[in-house]
Amino acid sequence: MNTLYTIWSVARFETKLLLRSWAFRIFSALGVFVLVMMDIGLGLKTGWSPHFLNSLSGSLPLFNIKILNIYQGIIAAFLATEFIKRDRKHDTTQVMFVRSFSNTSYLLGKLCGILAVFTILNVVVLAVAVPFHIFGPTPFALTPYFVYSFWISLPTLIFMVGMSVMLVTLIRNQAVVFVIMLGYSLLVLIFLGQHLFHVFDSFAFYQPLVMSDFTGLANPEDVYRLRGAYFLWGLGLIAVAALLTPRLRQSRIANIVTAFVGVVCLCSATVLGYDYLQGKFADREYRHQLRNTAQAMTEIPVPTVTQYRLLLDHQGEKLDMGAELTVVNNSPVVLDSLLFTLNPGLITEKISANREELSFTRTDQLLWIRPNTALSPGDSLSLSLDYAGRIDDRYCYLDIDDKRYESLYRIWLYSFPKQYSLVTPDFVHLTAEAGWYPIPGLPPGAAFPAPIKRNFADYQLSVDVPPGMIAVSQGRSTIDHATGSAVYTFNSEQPLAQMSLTIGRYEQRQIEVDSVSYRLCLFPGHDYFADFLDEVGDTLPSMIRELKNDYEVGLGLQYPHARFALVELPIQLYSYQRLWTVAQETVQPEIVFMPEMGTILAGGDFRRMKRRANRRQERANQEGNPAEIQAEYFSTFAKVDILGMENSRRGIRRFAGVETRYEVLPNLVSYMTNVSSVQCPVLNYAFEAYFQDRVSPPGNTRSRRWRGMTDEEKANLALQKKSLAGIITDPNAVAIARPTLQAKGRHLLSLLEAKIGRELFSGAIADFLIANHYRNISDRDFGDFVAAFDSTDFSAVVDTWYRDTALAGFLIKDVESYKVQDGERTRTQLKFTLTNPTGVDGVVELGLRYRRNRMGGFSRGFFRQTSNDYTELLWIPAHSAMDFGVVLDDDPSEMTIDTYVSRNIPSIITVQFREQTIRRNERPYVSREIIADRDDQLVAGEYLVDNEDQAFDVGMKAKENWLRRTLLGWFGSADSTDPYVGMRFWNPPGNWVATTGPEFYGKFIHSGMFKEAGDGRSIVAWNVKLEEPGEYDIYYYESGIQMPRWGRHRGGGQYSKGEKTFLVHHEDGIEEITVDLDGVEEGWNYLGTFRLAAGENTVEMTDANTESFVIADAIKWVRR
Amino acid sequence: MQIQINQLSKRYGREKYALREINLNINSGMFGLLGPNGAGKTTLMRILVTLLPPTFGEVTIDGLDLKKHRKEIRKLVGYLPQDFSTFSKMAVWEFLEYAACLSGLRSRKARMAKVDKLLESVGLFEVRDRKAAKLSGGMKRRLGIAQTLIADPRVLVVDEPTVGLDPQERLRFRNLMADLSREEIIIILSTHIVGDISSTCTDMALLSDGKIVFNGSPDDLIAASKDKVWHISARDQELDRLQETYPVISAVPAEDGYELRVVADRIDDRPAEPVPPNLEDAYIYFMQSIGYEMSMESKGAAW
Repeated sequence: MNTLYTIWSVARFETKLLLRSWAFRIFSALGVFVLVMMDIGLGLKTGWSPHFLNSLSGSLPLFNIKILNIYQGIIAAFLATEFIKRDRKHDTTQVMFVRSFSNTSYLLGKLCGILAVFTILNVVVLAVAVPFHIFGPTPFALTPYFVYSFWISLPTLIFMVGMSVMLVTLIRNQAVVFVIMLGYSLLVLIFLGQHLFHVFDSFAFYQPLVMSDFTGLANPEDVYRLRGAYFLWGLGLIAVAALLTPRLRQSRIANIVTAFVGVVCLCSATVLGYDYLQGKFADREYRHQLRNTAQAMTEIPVPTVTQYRLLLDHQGEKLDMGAELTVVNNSPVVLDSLLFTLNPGLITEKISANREELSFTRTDQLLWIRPNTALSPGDSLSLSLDYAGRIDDRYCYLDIDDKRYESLYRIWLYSFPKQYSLVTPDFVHLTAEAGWYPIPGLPPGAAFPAPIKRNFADYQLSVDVPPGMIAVSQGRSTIDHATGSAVYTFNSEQPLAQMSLTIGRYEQRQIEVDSVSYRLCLFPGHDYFADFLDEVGDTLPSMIRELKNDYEVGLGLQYPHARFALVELPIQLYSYQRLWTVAQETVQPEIVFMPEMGTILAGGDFRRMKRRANRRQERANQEGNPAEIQAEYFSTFAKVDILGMENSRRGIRRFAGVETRYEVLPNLVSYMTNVSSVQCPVLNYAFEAYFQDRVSPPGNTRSRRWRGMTDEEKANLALQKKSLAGIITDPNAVAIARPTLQAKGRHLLSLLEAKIGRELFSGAIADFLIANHYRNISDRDFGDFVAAFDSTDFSAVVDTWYRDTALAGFLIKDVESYKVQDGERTRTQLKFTLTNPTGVDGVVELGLRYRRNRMGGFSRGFFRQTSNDYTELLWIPAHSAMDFGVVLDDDPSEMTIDTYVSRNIPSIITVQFREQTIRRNERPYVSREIIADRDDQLVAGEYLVDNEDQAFDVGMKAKENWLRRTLLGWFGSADSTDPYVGMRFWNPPGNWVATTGPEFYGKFIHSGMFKEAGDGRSIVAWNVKLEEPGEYDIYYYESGIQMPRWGRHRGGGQYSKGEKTFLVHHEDGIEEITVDLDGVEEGWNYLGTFRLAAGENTVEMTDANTESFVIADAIKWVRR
Repeated sequence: MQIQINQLSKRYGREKYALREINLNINSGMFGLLGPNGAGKTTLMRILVTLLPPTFGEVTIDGLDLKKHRKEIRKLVGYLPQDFSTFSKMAVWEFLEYAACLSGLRSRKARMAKVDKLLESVGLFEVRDRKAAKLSGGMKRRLGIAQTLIADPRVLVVDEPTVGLDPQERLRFRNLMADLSREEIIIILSTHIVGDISSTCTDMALLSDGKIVFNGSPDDLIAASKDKVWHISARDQELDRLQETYPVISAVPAEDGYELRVVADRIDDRPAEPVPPNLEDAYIYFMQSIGYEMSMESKGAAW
């Protein structure tokens, strides 16, 4: 009791002292102020914050606690060491130290004091957040406040105090200890915390802790273990500090008790941490084991299931299931043993056929059933299986490599846990990936890159659903309320590729449009968009109809189901992109899932869209019709997230690193048929990507200057080194594999389309798909389909496409657009020559945007429109060119030539047109003629050196600033390892680096070199070997890129190109020429005329500039 | 109540002895610990109040072994270090209350009563709400004494309490000590100011270079220097030579030179008049007789 009283007393007075200390007051006031400001931004309905920052009820508290946690951790380290320093003024505390209490109780008292003041700080910060939360846009719940405070704040605080107190008793120097603690914190926050399953993440900065509003913490065991470990480490370190305290111990027993408690805490902490880490490694190991188990079976012939009848009894976190399967042997061999795959957490209890029990064996997920008589080709069998257990989530996504699987699902400060299936008393989510019913053979993930086959079957599912919950699955449902709970029975109306089941406390809304029943299933209180769509009610059916029609027309396919459900899932349910299909588990037949509260939807930020719309209106000084504006939000949301028809609107935010998508396409393509190619396992992807490309415009190319190369361009560079086959099987090329496949996919069928003609091909391929509904398409089927139109051996085309590294490249010349008299009408002529000088046939897509659509017109002008008004595929054989001419009724303002998979960088050639003027003498000219390759040769006496050439020399390298590079690397802004980087005006690179863009000179690759402006000592040189001496005009290529003026010029929004300083070496010496670029046009510019000797000649350029950086591109010599 | 110190030594590092084989018996009453700077007074006191462990030897307080019964001994002692200061952000009464809490006074009522009583007895009641940072040196020292008394200690260890105090505060402090010594407690007062001891202590020890060189009453020390203190007159030019020959306690300028007070066994070279010694004379005589170098600086400090 004395001990407790001492702890209480010390804590009481320590609290008083801390609350009175200026250090604490200033630090806390500052922290509270900053957080309140942020809360205002985050919490107000009209605030600036994007939707994901306040979508979940835990978002606001988590944001506050995460920021506060780092802040207070560091401050606590300071204060904890501060009291030791204060105590070291011997005469102050020695009068205390001669009193009768133990060192441990004294230190614990100090700790409690610190905890008390920080609890006050936490309470203040969170109490301030609460009103913003209650009156803000986010649903309010109190639980996250407690959960996050307890699991994030408390362990970090105790750990930081423990560690700093321990260190200060060892080192006895507050400044040194504080610097160590600061360094440690930085190391954890920037580096250590991200690695090794976040085991070093003492601040819980990276550890996935975001709670779902409905299922709570997804990984409580991980949280308890790791956070518990830090809590105990903190206590253990305090005990160590108590033992090391420079005060003579009170009694031996007190010391023994302290040492014992310390050892227990440290050991328990270590055990918890080890257990956590061990668990993670064991999970990884287990996944490897499952993967290996499966991989040995890829060649085994398997049966086909034509019918499933599933009976599911949901018991808390367990499933008890019965399955009746009609199995057919469609393979050419006799099967005496039938291979199925089932989640390894589900234990097979009994298998029978015709009431006779069958023998079976289970190895992890594999289930071998031995029928009493072997199954001959064409034979069928009815199997009955009983199995039960818990779904083992580790079984999902076995094909995803460890790095990707273990990578963080993180947006800004929020790390979400990743789960792939969920079975709790209140919620069930099962997709085929979870293996909740037996599938014949291996799941595609385990089989790839072996050919993937989809099993199309009829499904029936019966499930008992507790009161208050509803079940969502495929097919026509009937609900039997006879017993207390509801028995849902789902019957598929056509064969399905897979079946899913979701049970939850959903609120649902339903609307029927054109005999399709649309259903929206949301968690209660999660209709966050309702306020933004309150005006659209009556027009909803027509909007849906219009969107569906647009989509179907674009795709050339019809939505094949009678139902469409949009179902909200807890935030932690994640899915990966695959290499054999565009389908993800977040899209199931008849169902598209959406993330909780639309958190990670790119087009789901209605608040932001509304703000933009308001701002636009204010600027345009016009009153918009609210219903029309709201229709725009709805359409954006549908087009961006559900239909995948838009991906580059302004205001749309795609979250880097988050793979999950929610696009409906698989419902029309992937789940209806499947290209099962032996020759090329990714042919199905190419097939699907072609359809995807029909509705979705190419990515945003506008920001490429800042971001560096687009994914397509990176893919193109990769493809010049390695074939597609090489890239998709290279574990180091995972990041580039999918964009490469995407680009190659649309390229393959576009080649055919360009050759055959768009209209003919697009109708035919849709018919081909429909004809193959519910079956797998073989190489031969595909070959036959192509042969009907084109004599080319499709198999050879696929082979080249899959295994070759040669790429086409395109040059555009003589682009002209002017008005021309066509009979009675004045129309617009567009002409150009597109050359393919390479040895590979190529295809490009020409896109035009019309000027009339750029201005005015409410619906189009409202958001920046990115799709083209006119597109045409142009097929250009190797070593030839196309003489292109078209007469249009509209004036194009911009022409793009998407070169698909090619050597071109930028891969999209963009040409802007000014106002077209009439040319009276010209006649309308229409041509698609293939002519001989007219690759321009330089005329005699002309010499050109580009930065891509060998003769371009990057001279003196500036000294590499290691520290800067490392720090930038930590913050993710390091100079990229890509050969071409994006241009950034802030903090340009210290050395010359290459960047690409249409502004630069180049053949296939339009690139330039840039670096930060220097003192003129770093020099680049264009070297040329002139054949004859004489007078030469020298020209330099100017990109015309302007740099925003920072610093003292700031605020004016001024741009400038600055100047360039050339050193021209000529017969009489060197002449320095400084050009003021602000008056200079983009393109070739005259530098001067010089007398040059034959042989080696050089033009140099320095890095001196009045603006932030310098650009070097190309130099041309022309003999007079 | 008795403190017994047997063969106590304290060594810092390998060779530096701060205390060597100290043997002392201290009984109730005021005990003075006199000695020059660096003699080991503070070390001895810090050992007695359990802030430092002894290297060798044995100390018992009221029969309790200092090494084994720290918990009990800490309940008995009160300590006022030389440069006592308190938490600057705490009010006078709060600091005392903190000390009371740490001493185990649980009842808030009793605690506050005690605090007020002590504040009155040390004359700080009027400034009880003042922050410690705003107290004068004397007030701080009185607050220091008050906090040592909060747990009714039976051994009070006070290190150099009067250094830096003005005469009035010093007198007040001595009176406070004298009042306390009437109770049955041991007060150990370390000082190098002889006046503190002569006015209050009944028993004393003289510490030099870590060793006890004298232990007895102040009167015994004075008696030992009887007929060793002389009054002589000297001309201006003789002063330097005399200062080199004898320890000069005081030199007062007179009409034709100086009137000097010196300590010496005998003075043969000039007329000298023996004067009765006081404790200061005795201290200097004693220190000199054991060979301690008494420079003018050290003497100055002793004043």
